[in-house]
Amino acid sequence: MFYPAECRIYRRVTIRKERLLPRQGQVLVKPGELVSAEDLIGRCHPQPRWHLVDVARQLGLSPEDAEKALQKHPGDIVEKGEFLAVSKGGLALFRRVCKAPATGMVAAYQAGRLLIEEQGESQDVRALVRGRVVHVRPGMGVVMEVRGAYLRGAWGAGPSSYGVLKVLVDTPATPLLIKDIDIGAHGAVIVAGWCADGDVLRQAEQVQARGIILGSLDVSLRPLAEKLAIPVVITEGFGGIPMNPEAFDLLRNHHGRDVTIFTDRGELGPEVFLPDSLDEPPPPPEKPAPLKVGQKVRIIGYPRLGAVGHIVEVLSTPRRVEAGVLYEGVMVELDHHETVFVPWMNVEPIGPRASS
Amino acid sequence: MSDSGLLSSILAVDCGNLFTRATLLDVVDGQFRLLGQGRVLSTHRPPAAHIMPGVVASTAQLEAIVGRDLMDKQGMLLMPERESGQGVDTCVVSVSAGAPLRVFLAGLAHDVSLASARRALASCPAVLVDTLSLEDRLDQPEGMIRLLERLDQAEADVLVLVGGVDGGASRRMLDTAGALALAYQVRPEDARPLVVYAGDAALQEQVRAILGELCQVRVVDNVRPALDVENTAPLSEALQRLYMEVRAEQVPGFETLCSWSHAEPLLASQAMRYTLGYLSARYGLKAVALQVGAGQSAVYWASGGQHDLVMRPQWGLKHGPAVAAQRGMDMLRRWIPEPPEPDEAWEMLYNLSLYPSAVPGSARELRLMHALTRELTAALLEDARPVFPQDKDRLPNSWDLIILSGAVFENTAAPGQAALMMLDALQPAGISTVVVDTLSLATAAGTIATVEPLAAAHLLERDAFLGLGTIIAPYGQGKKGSTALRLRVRYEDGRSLDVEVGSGTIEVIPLGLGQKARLEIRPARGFDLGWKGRKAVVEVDGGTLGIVVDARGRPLPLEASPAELQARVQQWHWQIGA
Repeated sequence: MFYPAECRIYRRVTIRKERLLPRQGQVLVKPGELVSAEDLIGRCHPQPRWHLVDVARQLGLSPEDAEKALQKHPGDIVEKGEFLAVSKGGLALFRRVCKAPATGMVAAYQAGRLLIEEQGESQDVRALVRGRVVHVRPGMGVVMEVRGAYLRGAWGAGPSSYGVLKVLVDTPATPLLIKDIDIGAHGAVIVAGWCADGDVLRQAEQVQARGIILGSLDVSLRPLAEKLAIPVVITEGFGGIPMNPEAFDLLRNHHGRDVTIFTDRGELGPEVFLPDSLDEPPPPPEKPAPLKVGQKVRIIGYPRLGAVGHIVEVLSTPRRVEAGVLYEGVMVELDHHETVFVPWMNVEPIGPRASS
Repeated sequence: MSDSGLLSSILAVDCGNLFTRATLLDVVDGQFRLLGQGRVLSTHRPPAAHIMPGVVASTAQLEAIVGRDLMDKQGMLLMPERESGQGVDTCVVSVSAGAPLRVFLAGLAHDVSLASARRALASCPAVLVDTLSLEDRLDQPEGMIRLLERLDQAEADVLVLVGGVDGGASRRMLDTAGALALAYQVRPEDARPLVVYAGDAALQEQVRAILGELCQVRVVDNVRPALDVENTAPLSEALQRLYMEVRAEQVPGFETLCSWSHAEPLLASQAMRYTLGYLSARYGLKAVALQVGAGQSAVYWASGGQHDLVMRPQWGLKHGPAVAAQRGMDMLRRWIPEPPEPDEAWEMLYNLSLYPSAVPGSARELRLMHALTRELTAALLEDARPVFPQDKDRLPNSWDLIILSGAVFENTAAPGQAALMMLDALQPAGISTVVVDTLSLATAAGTIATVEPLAAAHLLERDAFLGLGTIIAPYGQGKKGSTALRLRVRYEDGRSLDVEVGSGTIEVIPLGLGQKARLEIRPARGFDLGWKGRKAVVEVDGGTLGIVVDARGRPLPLEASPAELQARVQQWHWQIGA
């Protein structure tokens, strides 16, 4: 009775996706509202610019006396050059003054020092994916329900993005070449088997593609992918590993349709959403269930990383792998009819819904 | 529950970052024995994003193993145990599933109070995200503005404020507290990290007055009450409590899991520490445990009534690229007899980090993972060695009991692999018994001890460990080709065996699991086992490996050309059967 890793590939599923504003701000949508990828869902408060004014030092006063000299207090709006504090006593001509270094709001005072908050630009936040708002966290963001196909990659970099899906190769083992990327990739999220050429990634960025989805990437290109202005998603890992056939097939079936890439989940991996417009809601992700004979699985460990097949036997006794270690596991018939032993920790289910 | 009202069946649930384990103990012939363990991948992360599916699945797996219902049809625990034998009397929980606490450290001098605070942090599931000191010039506008930006970037859960000796000069400490108060005022209330103050005790009330209206302030004893006195335990304990409050409770479903438990859920590292402390106190041992996980690693030790640990969150097998970047890829590759090219090694480390639950299927991958284990453990030991217990009557770095915990020690092709990883990283001297914590039962025992110490004791004595054998590692160095020590092994059946072990080599002498032997050991000149080079007679335990004489010398001779070192490492692998 082995409970495998979570499923990463769904042909039809309902996923709840949290979309948080990068900073606190205002949520512009309501629960129940349907949004498209380009719709605004919120606006962040501006990123402030701070100015510290050492009132006590400038006026030559103790912090206690400086507080008495204040003409502006936390919450007050000030113009640049306006007096913040004026020393008391003596001739008016010889009074020391402390002026606001910028237009903004007095944000705080502590022990003779004032902080002025200068307002910056506010930032719009878009939905990036088609779906329904199911929950609003005031000032923070929303939870959206997205229906359609879903794929979680192994690694990703760059910003979240959306566009039209374009599969540029015929097989999951075909590399992405520079000749594949022309102006037709503009605004598109492009798909290929793998990539080992940095110029190809740069070309995709140059023609303003909206993202790249690959089976694998040469490990030397990782730093470049992290610097690109567009997202890069790999489904299998680093090296020259073809994309698993299940994921490739799923993407090919959505060629020309909307796609969204989210790269905001850190080590949990990037998410690829392929929303559909079916009225009947698909089921939520499956709960953990034991591996069964007949189940379709993907292999997530060496030496067959990315291979897909069916479980033909759940073994009751451990077996030795090439490394010499004994593991409990399953026999998997791969798509090309070879049957291999795989430790249960090295398989990931592709749920029945994925192949339906 | 037995007629006397005493507990008989105990379920211990451990929710780790990678695996959730459900372990069942019950009384068999008057002793608590391990009946079985279910283990599944933890489910606190999306898509399940709830800890309970994993807990229920691991318990269901355990039900299938032991042939006994532990839950009802709704997945609720049957407690106490029914007359029919279904259910359990009690359940205890340990947890390490939450992300580590993010700690912002603020203080005065790097080498005094901040150094002590860093040592306190080392025993907690916490990562240091930024450190503020006098050098940051908070009295200057640039320093203050920078502090605002740094607080934004740090996304800290906790700000630990330290500095000053008790009753010492106060101005700088109060200035730092004032600067923090200024910075806190302009942050939203829910973005102000809780403050733990562990500085000058005389300033506790003033610090509370400055910061108390802006955020929650907890005060503990000064980490550095005097220049020559360090007191890290109160801060360390406060952070561990905070982990349970802040992090564990953020794990979705933690509250439901708590309703299963009869005792306060325990931090897994705390449970392991209790176990080591118990073993040390009960048997008078100087003990050490190396724990290597996917997401973190730790070294625990106990001796003479004291027990402590050093842990590094985000320093586990899935952090291979970070370990290789910090230690150097060549440092990893030197441990592999036929090392992969650096590009291939980087590729494998990155891919291992993408699938932390996957196990090595190929020999090349396994060797690389073992090399990674050596280096990440060695780095951890560099943190731990300065605070290891010192005993003038013993050899440096000598331990009576060495516990190896984690799947990397458990899932080996041969027991020699686990032993060699430990010997290379820890480089113990003297005579030690080495065991593998095969099912993470050492942690379970620490948790069980909170409700039934006897059950924990029985578990540790009978089921928790798989003995690898006895390590004999003389301290010193010898010339190549010379003899390091001579042994006469007297087996229980009367047979005896004379062995001469060459300097620079490893020798394995058969002694099976459950067997004992008497050894007469004569170290050669230049080598010592703790008796100033004299002959000694000791009784030792066997194991899956037997008696291992590691006469390579201490420290290990690792200075050599790459080709020479590679040949040497290959020899060591062959000699120990790795």
